[in-house]
Amino acid sequence: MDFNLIWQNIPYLLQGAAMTLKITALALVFGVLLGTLVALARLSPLRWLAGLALAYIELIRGTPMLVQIFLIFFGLPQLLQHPINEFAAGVIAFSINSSAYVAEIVRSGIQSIARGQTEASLSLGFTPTDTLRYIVLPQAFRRVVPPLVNEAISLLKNSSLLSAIAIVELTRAAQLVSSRTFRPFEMFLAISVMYLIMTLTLSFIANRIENRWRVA
Amino acid sequence: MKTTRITLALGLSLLVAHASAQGCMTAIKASGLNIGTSPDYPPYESLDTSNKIVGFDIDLMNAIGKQMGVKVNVIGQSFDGLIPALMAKKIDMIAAGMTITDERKKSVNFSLPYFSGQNVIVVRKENSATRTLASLSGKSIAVQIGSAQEKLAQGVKGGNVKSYNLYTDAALAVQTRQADSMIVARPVALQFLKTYPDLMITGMLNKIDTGLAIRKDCTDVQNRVNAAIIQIRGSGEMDALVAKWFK
Repeated sequence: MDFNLIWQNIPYLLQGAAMTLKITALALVFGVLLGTLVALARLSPLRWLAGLALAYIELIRGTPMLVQIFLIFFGLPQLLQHPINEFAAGVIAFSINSSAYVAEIVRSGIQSIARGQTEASLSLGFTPTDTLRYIVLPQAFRRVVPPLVNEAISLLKNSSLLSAIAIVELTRAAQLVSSRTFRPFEMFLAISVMYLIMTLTLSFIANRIENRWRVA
Repeated sequence: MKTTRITLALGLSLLVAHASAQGCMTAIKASGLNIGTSPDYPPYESLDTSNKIVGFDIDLMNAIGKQMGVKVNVIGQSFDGLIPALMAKKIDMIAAGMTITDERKKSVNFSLPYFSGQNVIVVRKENSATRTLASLSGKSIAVQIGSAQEKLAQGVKGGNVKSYNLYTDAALAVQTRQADSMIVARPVALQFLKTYPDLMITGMLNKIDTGLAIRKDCTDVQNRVNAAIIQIRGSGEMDALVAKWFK
């Protein structure tokens, strides 16, 4: 064990960790926005729209993440006849992947809000859109914070797959250092701890939010 | 009584001393020579249709094994993990089209060079003006992680190095315009240019020597391997293998 090797490379690994966090955060924002739309489509009274949303969710949940990353990174440029940089490809692949999981989380959140709430709101004269916007969704979102944080944690861990398309996130940073020093063990030990710090922080924040926003 | 004990102790200590000098060979004679390689690098090594590892390095290792009188077991894994695996004694030797570099020599010993190649620049045909390392400045350079070519690319001032797991991913990145150029060993480039008609070799860079990597404490193995390489060269077998795989 050569701890010096770890200390020397901490600044470089931290840059990798910053990239990991950046991609995770962006993908989560886009994932929640897109996922909420897909969840609403899934609950739509329009049969074709609900079917389409279901197909989208199954397609993404049924294929490996790495395959999706390669499809976007190597496939999209050929379709568009235009290169996309790996950062954009990574964020797109992760947002799409996340949206499918978020859609299911949000759908179950919406369905868990008692029907009485909707009925009461409609009888008070709220339009169906306003009912969703002011009554159902705010309560649903509070309820789905814990599973959303789980999704954020799994996104963060999965982001190591982006090393395959030459994005220097935390795992790639460690691989690049070990390919130079031929000492992978120290590097992977260091990044395990770094990943753990990030995921535990997310869990901690989630617990705080959960306690503050309890839905009766 | 006493004399026997002393003789025994002396004999034992001699045996131990002998074993440490000949330690690596003894173990290899018993359990076979474990060769680490990364079968994603034709013509050096790749998987054939029945998932068997084949290639120039494999044929050469079998010839060397025959000369040394040991059984050869080939173990496939990722290229950037080969030197760590050797140092951790998971394998006895690396035969993976590995370029002999000063950086690697700090961690492992190399056999005599058994093949000489050259690094080249590969680009899409519309960029045929990119011929030198200096002209890669401001461009992205795709390489395989842990390769000697990666090290070369990192030395380009203003170059943007993109390291992929496999050189095929690097080639695909150039083909799909995700990277501007690639640095790769010429024999390997000649292989994949057959599949990518849009790509071409422009610049010829430095000459590289390929060697087998051996643990530093196994000089006995190194000597035996070097003797075998000289033998195989002399008999014309090496030329035959080169002709077979690099034609």
